[in-house]
Amino acid sequence: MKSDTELIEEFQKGNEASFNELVKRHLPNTFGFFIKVCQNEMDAEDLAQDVFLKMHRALKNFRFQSAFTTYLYRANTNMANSYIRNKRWRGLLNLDDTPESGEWDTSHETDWRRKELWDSVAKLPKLQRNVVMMRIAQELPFKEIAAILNTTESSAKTSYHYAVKTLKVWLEDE
Amino acid sequence: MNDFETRLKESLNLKNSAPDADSFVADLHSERAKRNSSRNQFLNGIIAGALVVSLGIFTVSQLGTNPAELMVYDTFEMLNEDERVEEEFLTELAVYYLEESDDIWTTVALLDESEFLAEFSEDQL
Repeated sequence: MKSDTELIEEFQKGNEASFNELVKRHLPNTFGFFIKVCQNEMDAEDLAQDVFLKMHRALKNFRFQSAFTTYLYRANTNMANSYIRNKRWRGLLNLDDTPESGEWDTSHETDWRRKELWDSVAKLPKLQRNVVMMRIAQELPFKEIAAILNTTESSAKTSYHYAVKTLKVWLEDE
Repeated sequence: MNDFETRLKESLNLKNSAPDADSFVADLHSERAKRNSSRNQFLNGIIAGALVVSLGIFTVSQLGTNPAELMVYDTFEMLNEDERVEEEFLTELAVYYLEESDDIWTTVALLDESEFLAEFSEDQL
């Protein structure tokens, strides 16, 4: 199986099929991340599509300074932040009246509803929010999170610690 | 803390599976083509607009006149010029009639018909 780097190099030489293979390889992970953030299949698919559209443009000039996955996770996180920001504005303007959709696994219902959880995550400071999204929604190790966010591993851990502490207070108060 | 983290992760435990990869890729490329087409249309519109404006400016500049002057001042001046010629003509016609006519009242009636009498008072006549 070809590595991401090989696929990107082939794509840069004009082979569209390599890009398609790259998309197929990273789609489950990307979609899985967005579905957790959006709680909505359609939005998650749209965001995944936007990310890969950006990748199609950007990969032509990709210089392999970091791993493709680091680049992709950073793009995912930026897209999720943008989605959260838009959703917040839509909420303020009462534009967001779409009900939750998607088939949730009701057998794992917990004390908090997902909406409450992600509403709380959206209220966290940006760094803490990014770390939580990557840690919880993408299950990335702190070392990788630090690389993606251009910060140190200890800073990522501290941010996560504070974020979880804050979420615990907020969610258990409700 | 670990317990809390586990509960957070469990709360996100979803059955959703990724969309079909082949149809996703097909949709991705059709969306890309659509966006490229929209971007090209927008750029073509901008270029066409710029071309029309430049041609307009070029054409007007070839006339050797300030476009604003041509459009506003000169048109106004032309209207005034027409009125002035007509007025001069009527004045000359009236003087001619008054000097040449044997019957002044016939002249006055004629001027009255051409709604020119108001310009002259009876004293002047």
